[in-house]
Amino acid sequence: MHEVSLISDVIATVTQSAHERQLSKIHKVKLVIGEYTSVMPESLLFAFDLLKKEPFIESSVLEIETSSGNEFYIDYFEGE
Amino acid sequence: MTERVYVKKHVLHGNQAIAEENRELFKSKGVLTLNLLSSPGAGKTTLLEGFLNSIKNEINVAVIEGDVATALDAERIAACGAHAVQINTHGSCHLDAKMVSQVLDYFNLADLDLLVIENVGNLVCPAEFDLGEDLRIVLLSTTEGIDKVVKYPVVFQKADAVILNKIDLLPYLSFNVEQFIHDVRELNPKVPIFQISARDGEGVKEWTDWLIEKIHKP
Ligand SMILES: Nc1nc2c(ncn2[C@@H]2O[C@H](COP(=O)(O)OP(=O)(O)OP(=O)(O)O)[C@@H](O)[C@H]2O)c(=O)[nH]1
Ligand SMILES: [Mg+2]
Repeated sequence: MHEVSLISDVIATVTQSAHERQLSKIHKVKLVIGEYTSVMPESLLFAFDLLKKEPFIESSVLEIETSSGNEFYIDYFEGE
Repeated sequence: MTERVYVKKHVLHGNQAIAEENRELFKSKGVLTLNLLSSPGAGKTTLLEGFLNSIKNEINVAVIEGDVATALDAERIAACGAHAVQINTHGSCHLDAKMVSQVLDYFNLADLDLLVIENVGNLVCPAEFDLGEDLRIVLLSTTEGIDKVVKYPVVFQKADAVILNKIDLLPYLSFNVEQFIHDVRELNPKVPIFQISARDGEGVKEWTDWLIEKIHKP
């Protein structure tokens, strides 16, 4: 249920970081999700497609790597 | 030129930062804080009602109630004579640290010994969100079935105490208490487990004594 708010946090973090580096387009965002986090990757992908409205991020893709453990973090993003 | 920017930031870092602020504040005011978690209807509010009535004159307790809608639970707490503030999450399945920090002005924390936060009834999402609490108390009721421990492991792994509620109904159910204890211990070997009937008051005193001890020497 809270995947939408998680993704809006991810987009906000990435957006801020991209602006700081004067990047004008984001191509890819990569997340790592531990199996013990009860966060659903499918829902995150769905929420990402729903929320990536701004032109500079709208053509980007979300990649999710699952790991063992409890972590849930933004690994990197790619842009120009 | 495409460049790769490593972020390596926890997605909930925003929540975590606020939770740490809450924790610092509770510590500086000398308030022990509980995050009470269970699925809907497991008996969180019923337990609090009995608890509040039994410790009224001993310690100063206030309660934050988290629900999607209504102030029904806060009204039940207020009827026990404790200060209660209701947070309505309007659809969100959990409380987060910011929601909690936003209502702390309604309390005189310096006067409190204990602040109980009753989370939104849900065994999944609230487990991810630190509120700044000292202790996480997880309740399961016998009617929910024994498989819930292995089905929702995260919440049990992170528990500082596990309470099995509605033991008055055991004669009517095929709930194997031994198996329950075994399954909890597999996930969380040292966690204290209390067996209670919040309705009848059975076992509530053991939990209360454990808690009072935590208040006096956290
Ligand atoms: N038989 C029995 N019923 C109980 C017990 N504890 C609670 N109940 C009943 O279970 C129902 C739900 O109890 P609540 O205390 O409202 O549960 P809750 O966890 O606060 O529910 P939410 O806040 O909606 O998630 C009520 O009808 C209670 O009377 C118990 O020990 N035994
Ligand atoms: Mg309740």
